[in-house]
Amino acid sequence: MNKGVFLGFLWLAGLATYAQKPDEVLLSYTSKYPLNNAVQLVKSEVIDLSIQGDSLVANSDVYEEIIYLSDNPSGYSRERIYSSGFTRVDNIEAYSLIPGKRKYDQLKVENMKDSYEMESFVFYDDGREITFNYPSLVKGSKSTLKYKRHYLDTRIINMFFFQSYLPIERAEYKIVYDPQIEVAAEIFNDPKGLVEVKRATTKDGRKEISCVVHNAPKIKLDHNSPSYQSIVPTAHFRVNSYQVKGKNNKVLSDVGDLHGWYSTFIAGLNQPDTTITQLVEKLVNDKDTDLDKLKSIYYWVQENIRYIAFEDGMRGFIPHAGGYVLEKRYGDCKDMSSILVDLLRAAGLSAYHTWIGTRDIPYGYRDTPTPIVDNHMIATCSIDDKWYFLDATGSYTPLGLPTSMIQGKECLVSKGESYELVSVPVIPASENVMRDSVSFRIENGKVTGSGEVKLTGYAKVFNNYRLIKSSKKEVDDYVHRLLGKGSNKFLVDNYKLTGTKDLDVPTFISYDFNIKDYYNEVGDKIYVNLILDQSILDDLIENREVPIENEYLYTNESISVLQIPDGSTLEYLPDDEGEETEFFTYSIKYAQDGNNVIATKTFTVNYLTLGVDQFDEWNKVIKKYSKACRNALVLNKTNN
Amino acid sequence: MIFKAYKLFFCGLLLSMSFHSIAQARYQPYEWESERRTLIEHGEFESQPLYAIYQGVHYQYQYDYGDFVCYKTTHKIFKVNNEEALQSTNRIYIPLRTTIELKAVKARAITKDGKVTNLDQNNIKELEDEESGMKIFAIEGAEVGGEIEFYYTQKIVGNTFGVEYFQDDYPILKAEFSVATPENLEYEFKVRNDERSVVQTDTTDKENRYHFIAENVPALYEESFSAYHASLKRIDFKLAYNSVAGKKRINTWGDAGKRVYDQVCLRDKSDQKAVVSIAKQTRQTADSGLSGLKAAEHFIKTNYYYDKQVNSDGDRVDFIKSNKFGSARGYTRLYVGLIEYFGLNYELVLSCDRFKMRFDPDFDNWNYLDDYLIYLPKFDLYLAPTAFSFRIGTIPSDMITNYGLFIKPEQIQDFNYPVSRTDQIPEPTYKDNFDNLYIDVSFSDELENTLVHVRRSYLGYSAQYYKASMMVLEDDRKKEMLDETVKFLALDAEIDKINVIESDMSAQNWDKPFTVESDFRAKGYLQRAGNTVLLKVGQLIGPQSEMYQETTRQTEVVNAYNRGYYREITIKIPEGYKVENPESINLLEEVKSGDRSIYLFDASHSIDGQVIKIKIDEWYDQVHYPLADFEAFRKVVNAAADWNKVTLVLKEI
Repeated sequence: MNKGVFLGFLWLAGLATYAQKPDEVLLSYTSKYPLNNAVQLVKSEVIDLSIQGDSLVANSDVYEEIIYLSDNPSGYSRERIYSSGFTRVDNIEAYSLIPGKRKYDQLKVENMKDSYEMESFVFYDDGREITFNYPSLVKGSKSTLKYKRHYLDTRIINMFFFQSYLPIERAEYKIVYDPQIEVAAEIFNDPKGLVEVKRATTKDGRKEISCVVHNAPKIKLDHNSPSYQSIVPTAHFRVNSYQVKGKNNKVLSDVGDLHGWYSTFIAGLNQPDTTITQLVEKLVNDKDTDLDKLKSIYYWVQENIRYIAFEDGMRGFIPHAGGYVLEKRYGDCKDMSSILVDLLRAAGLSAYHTWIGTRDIPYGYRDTPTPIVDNHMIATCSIDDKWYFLDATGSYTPLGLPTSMIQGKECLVSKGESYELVSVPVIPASENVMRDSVSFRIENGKVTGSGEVKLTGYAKVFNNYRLIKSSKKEVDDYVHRLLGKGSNKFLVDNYKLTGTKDLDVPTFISYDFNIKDYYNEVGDKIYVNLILDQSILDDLIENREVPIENEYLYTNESISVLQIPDGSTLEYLPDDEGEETEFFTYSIKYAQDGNNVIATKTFTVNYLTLGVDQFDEWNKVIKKYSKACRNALVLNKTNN
Repeated sequence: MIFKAYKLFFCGLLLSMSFHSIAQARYQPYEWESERRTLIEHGEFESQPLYAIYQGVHYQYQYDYGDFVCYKTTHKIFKVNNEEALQSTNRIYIPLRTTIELKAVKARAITKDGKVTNLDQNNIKELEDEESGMKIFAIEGAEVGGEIEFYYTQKIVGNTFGVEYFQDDYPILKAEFSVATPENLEYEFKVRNDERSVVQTDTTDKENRYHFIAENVPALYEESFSAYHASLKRIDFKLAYNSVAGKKRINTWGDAGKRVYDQVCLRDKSDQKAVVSIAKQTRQTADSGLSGLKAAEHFIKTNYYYDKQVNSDGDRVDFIKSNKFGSARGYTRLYVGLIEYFGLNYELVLSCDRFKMRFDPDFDNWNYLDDYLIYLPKFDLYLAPTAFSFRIGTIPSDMITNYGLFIKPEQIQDFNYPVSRTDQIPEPTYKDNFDNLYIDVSFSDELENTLVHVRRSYLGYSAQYYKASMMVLEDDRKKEMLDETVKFLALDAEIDKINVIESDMSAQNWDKPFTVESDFRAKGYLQRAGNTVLLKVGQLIGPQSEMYQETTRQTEVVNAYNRGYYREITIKIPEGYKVENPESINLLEEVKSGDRSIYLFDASHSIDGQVIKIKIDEWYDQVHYPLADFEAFRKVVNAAADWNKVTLVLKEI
């Protein structure tokens, strides 16, 4: 088709929409989207990438348009635009379009507030947010928003998400660029092939790539959802290279380019520093093996350098020198990585600066060698061909255990000029165990006994965060919640906590407890359910459209030993039960041993991500497990 | 917040008039102990993960070339004995709101070995904002077992009213508070939740000095049914006299009433036009009185939007009309206009969140004047301008029982003149707020499932919240919200049917019940013991609040609001089975005040053939209850939770 005619046709189509009266427009959308309060008609970003002088310059035009279908859309009035040190935003124009009889009345947004962005996990952030309200929204109103975004570095170009909390009629991500530049369009999370990618050449000889999705349904996020970018179809433009004056300049054509760029951030580090060498001397002088040296240094950094995060322009990429961090005693992940590498190297170990993306990021270096892959830095150390992933931002994490948020991810290990991609393992459930064994007697309607909890692996790490608190009351309250079972009348009479500080041994909590009104005594019978731990019985998944993430794989073991009261006999013991599935396994076993009845229950949650298509099977096994936990034994008070 | 900005303007005006006659005092920079290297152990406190060795706030009020300013120094020293204690004290945020200049910031960490690391001033960062902003820094060189110390001095606009807390969730060894003012200014102080008082210590006639010290202040922890913030020890203070301006007390309730009246109750032509236009949009005539006001309120609360962050434009009614959003003051001005339009009398009420502060009618501190209400004396009803879920007659529960400043416009000849008084905002009774359950239970054939029919009926806060949500949520979220009303009773409920059977959302009937009806199946109420079935009948009413853990209590009982729960449960026992222990259903716990039952849990039953009928009446009908009688209250709360454990044994006959 002739291009001129084609464009003309589009223009006419546009005019036709505008010629529609506001009430007709509203009717067409309410009948198409009867269940929605609002629909995003357009979401677009068009990037212009050009060569200016010897360098690349990228700016984009962002445009968004929403129509409001509900009776009272004023709750949707508030709008936010984010910018950061790398993506500056200006030329913001926002309007409400209020439906009149024949056309829309345009109301311009006059007041915008520019303020800092405060996130709980980042101490200092150079991000800004511009907030304002769309005025006077009523049913059938539209809002439009356009602004310019300036990329300070063409290696750091935003990703584009084709879904949002509203349905989107048309989402477009487009780049127009000089022909001397080579650009790759990367599409992620698009199993249904919703994203249409088109390449073209403009009249003046520039190239363009457009990625378009029509009619994207809204995304309904839920608790423990994977990150947004793990779920929604996403596009990203990567600049491979460009030619200036016959010379080819590589930008991010492969992992080597990315590593080359990253190397410049750490180039100035590792200068000789006496405070570092003196500390290393102190930490390793009595250590014989490399592993002991590593452990001593790693634990020292974990204990003595506090994690405080900064996002501040290029400082977001460049670590401080180890000596500086040592003096300040705090730093962000890069600083922790930097001091670890300095100390380990000073001790003669092979340690490396290492970049990695947390599990929130679903792509790896091989998918796209760009900064969208990582958001974190660690140190790595190789001893006898075994890799150690040293993430000192995770307190209480023993050597050998990576932090849970980087399990299964691939990291970029910098070895000077060269690099290596190394995979972080997923820690099996059998290492992350909470074992709770109790022995108790029953008397006057009350359960009284003692028990011991043993925590290993991530079960230890994550409970440590709750067991080491700035007030004793908080610790008492948490211990009570952790040990709690049977009913909320479970009371801890006293407890003793050991092992929290030593990362190489399990944490133990030994305790005495009682539960009033737990069992039933009627006539000459006593009914007792030995399955005191009734957690996750009701974890059925309903009305959910997104996968579930689990922090780590784990196993729970509960052992209950009931002392049969004098003069009573065991009349009925429930049957053993159990089932194994890919992501959930349980077993319940009963036994009589002299005057004791023992119930042993084990379950394992064996997924990091549970997909939507697995929910039915999950519910099926959880229902069986719940039923199995709802059996009581019967004692007969024969002598009474 | 906007009101507070005005306060500053007010005091600046009044006080700057008089500076000529007053000697200009010089700002005395604050000093800390420069060589404080020795770390002292503090006996029993060493077992605490975190405690403050010192916490002081010092105000130096001065005239600064015509402006009334204050140099305010905040100084803290923490002992950090574990990781969490260190992490919770090593990030310092200095708010810049009302700060003219940050005069000094110093911070140091002292390790247990006595090594001192001072803050590098270059590492102080600023979070900029058009209105406020912050300076932030992290403590350098801190170690577990060591001390963290910092102070900063802000030059601020001289404040007429203030509040300083000297209690936290960690113990404080020594808390100090001091105020120095020019001789003509006299401040008054009230110490809350503590016996001690602020004393005047000056010996010259050049300035007034006030001082307060408290040693060994224990930590206060959050408790359930309690107002934590309002229970913290603190000092409220205000500027009460300015001898240059006369002998009369200044900044009184009357002064506040006059100011607020001018700001809220007077309208220019453009605002008045907007009021009339909105009234007409609701198709109410000027003679429609209360029903007209109700219709207008309903219209506003279903079409407009309350924006806490809007700038002062949002205070204008014409702005609200054309933008459909506005500020708290803007909406209050709009309702005052509408009330006058409909020919009703009103009183403006200003008060505050009682969980944060109890309004003290005997101490005219304008910090209590945070939120607006409007009182309609003829009908004895209150209207909450910014509570968009509620309608006339229902106000946010955080204001009930608190005192408020009531400002009544009285016509004196041709002028309206505000007359101010303080009075208590009443608490609605338990009959105004209920969550009632009517439940029928039968069993599936194999006794695998309970089949439950439930009618759940709400009145008051929950009902109005549900109605407001039904109006704005999308269908999928609405369904989830309704499902929650049933899932509360049984997490494993398989819902076969759920309907809203009562929900009159009209302006005139907004205060009528919201009722949901549902059929569902649940397995979780049943346990097996061989051929015997255990019915966890106590779980049919859903999980109840409990206070089993609360052995030591620090604060009085404060309920969110009075409320009632009435339940009727009918259970059809399957043929061939008999309930062995029906008597376990009965439970009575009661607290009386005179003849009146103020807290009650009363469960009883009757049996008719295979049908058991259970009746439970539970209510809480007094918002505040003294610490000394805490145990009686706890017993009633725990009775409901105890009833959760009632299990019926169904035996084959």
